[in-house]
Amino acid sequence: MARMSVASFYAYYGENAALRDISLEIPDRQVLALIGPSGCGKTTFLRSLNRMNDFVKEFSIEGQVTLDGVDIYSSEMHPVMLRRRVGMVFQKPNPFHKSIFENVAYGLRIQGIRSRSILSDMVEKSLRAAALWDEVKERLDSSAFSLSGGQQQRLCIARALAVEPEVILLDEPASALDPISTSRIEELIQDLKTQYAIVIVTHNMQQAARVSDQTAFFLSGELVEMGETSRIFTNPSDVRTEDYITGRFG
Amino acid sequence: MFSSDSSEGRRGGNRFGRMLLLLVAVCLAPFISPGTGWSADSITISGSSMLFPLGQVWAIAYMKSHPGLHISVASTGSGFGISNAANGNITIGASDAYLTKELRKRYPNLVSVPIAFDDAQVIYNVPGLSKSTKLRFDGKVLARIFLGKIRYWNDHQIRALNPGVHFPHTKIRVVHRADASGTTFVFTDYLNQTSSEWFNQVGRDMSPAWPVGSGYNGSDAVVAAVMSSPGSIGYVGLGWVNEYHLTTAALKNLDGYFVEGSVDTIRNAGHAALKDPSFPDDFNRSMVWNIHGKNVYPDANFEFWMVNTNLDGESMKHVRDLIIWALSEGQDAKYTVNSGFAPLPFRPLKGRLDKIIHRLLPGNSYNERSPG
Amino acid sequence: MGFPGLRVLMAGFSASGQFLKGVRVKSEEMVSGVESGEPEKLLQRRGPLDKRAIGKESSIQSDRFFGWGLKGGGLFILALFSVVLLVCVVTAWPSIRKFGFSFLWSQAWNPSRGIFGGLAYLVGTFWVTGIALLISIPVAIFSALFLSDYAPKWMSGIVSTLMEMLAGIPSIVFGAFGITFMVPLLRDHLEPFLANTLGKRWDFFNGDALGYGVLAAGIVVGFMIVPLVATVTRDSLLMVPQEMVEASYALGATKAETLFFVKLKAVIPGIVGSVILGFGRAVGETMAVLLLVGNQASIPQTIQDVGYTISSLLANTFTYAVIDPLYAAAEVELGLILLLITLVVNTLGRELLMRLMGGRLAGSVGGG
Repeated sequence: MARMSVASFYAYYGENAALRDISLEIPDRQVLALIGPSGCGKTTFLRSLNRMNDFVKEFSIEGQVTLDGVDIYSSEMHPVMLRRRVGMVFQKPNPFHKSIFENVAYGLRIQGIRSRSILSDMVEKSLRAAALWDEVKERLDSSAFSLSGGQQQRLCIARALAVEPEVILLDEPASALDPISTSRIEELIQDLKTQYAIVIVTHNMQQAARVSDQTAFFLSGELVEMGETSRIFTNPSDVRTEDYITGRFG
Repeated sequence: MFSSDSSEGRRGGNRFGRMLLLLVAVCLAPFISPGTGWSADSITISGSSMLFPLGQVWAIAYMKSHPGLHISVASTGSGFGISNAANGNITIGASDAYLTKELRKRYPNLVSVPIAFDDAQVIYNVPGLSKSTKLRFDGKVLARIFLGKIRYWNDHQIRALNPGVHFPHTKIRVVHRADASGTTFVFTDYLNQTSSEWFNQVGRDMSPAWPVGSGYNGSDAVVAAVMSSPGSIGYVGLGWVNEYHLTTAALKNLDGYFVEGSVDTIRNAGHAALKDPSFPDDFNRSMVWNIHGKNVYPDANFEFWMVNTNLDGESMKHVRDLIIWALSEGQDAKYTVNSGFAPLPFRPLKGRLDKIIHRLLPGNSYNERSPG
Repeated sequence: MGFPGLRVLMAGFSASGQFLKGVRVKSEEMVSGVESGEPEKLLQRRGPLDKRAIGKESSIQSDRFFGWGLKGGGLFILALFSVVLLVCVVTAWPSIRKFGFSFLWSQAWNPSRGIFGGLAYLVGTFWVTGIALLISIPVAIFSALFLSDYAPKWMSGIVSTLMEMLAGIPSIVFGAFGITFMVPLLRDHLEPFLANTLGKRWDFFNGDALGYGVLAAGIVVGFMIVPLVATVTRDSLLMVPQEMVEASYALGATKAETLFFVKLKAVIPGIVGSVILGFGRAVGETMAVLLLVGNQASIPQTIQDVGYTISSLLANTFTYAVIDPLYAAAEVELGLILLLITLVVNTLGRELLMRLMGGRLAGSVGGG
């Protein structure tokens, strides 16, 4: 069952089309990996799913993206409400200048939750879900910047989980991390997919193969093919996909 | 600088060396140059800001008639003028005040040369009073006002001095000078000699500890503050009164007359002081209050040039000539009155001037040179 | 006496010290890099390349000169600072010895009787500085937020340029503005209004509506430091990483929420730093204050009272005070106290920054 669906989607930076005629479905409780060479439009696509591209000057779109059947670019869905339902984790860890606790509580506070006990519960729950709780429970009041890079990224995941989104977008979440931190993030993604629809952009083929259920291959702003990860990596139907996966270009 | 070409590199080093030399030279210049100001053919006058405009017009006129001599005039404050004339940094120190006993002790080599008359006059801004209404004050009431003890314009002590004037129930705003000022010295001198309260609590100073009011930098600012704040009272010198056509108060003098400050009443005070045999020959005494007479303003004073007796002979001769010129030709109204001062009367001054010149240049007297 | 100048000197000193350190490291790298490899190789060869080797040596030489020059500059500032400090302490010594600490809490100031106590001037300085900071900080922060996030590009360009021009206006001009505009405004409207509203309940707001006084001086000095605080805050805001802003948006925050809870939080070090700079400027501000504060050595009881600040006292009377060594000493001692206050505030500000950032300034923007 699809959580989000994209139909005939075009994205433009000024005159240049960054994405052309993309149609795909984002399944619930599964991981969708977006792969492709640099500049193929996969990150643009990811950021179109929670309207983060709205802040880019001269960005415009055509086509339709729906979340539970509602067009997210229509007036029926305010971007602020959309982003509460479609969370995002960025390439570089980007905690706020706040304590560990306040970083996670931020999304809840701006929703108007003031109760300290509710906040504590939600923060603990989110930190546990992000597999960070045991490492930070003793020092929730220290600065987020006192954490290591891998911990910071898991904190960012916890921050995204705290507002209880329905879809989680991950933009190369492990690219800035060491191998150990990377594998922890990958384990975490496996845990999270039991509750959320997850879309991950990655440059790392092995990672895509390890964590995703579905894989979509982007090239030059077009969706070349999408399907079960096992099939894409063993028996791609398009020769360009095969070339990319086998490392013949890109 | 980091070029790999050899000639470039060397030139860079040289350029750097030259820059370093230049820098050192610039830094050391003030210490090396003989610029303390007075070679034999130049005179430096520095001090009182009030005397500055008079010094300037005198310097211009005098340099025109005495080519080869250079006079520079600076406005640095009377205190600076006195102390720097004493330690030899400048040739003449301009001061609004005579040397008090303490200062004479500290600077025994300084000679006070009177060069003009000035005064302090009381200005006020009382709501409801017509511009032609002249107020009268005596020292006691004025002191109580400036001590903050009389706080409203319709106080009975003010009314008693001004029968027939209808005063409003307005708060009195005391306005005084914030910078050290000769005008302040003259004004507080009057209060000091007429009010024991003032004598005990504040005293006479160029920058006294004002108990109340608000202070302003310069006479311009005092005039502006008094004019713009209803209920205020302040003081300025003759020059400002004439320039702004201010209404001033008549002050009670030693013989009980209420006299307004003007070129004439100030000159009268000066005449009376010079004719008074008890007035000291070195001029180091206040002429405020002590002077008898009908049309004598009680709050006038001499302006001074302070000259160090240790000046070298060449400079001293220039100074002597300049002093004699200033006290004769220089007293013309186009210099003195136009700069805000009253001219000194020459005849009664002559005898005492001789003694001053004699002190500066033993063997010389004023009579050796005839005035122009 | 240029006491504000001292502060600038000190800032320059610490800046040049850091600069020196950076440059030394760099030049060592360069020298060692060059020595370990290239010249030896080059010297082994014969012919036209020798010339290049000599050029290299010479540039190493000038590099060393450059290093010495910088070191000399740093040392010169250190020496200058020490000399100024020493001269001040020596000049102030008669007063320090005679009055001791009572100088700080005695209000008696009577030059003709040789009695000096600086309390009124200290309190007056704090009144003016306090009012200036209270006024300038919110105004500056709001204008910085507007410039960095709300103003259209053309407008933020114009406003930024105007602000930089405002920062360059001589303080005497601000003083004149104060006399011709602020004083009548305060005297005829604002101060009577304050007395009739807040003044009815709290005496703190009451007064004679003179126009001149700590309020007028504080407001105008506040205006003077707005550009300083606003410019530093705006620059800090512009340097907040876009990822941090996006993280907030991605959590469903609105623009205002992002601005206040994320961006402002990130630039607190920058704001604290600029406020310290502003404090230094306000404490040392002379001409504008001298024209407006009322120059009356009494301790202000209400916001409408007149007062006196250390710097305006020195500007008004120092040339006269030199006539009496004790008088001059008392004034220089006040100047020294001003210097110490600025030092203490700088140090406390640094401490505060450290604490705000949880012991490390990593990732923060525009630290002081």
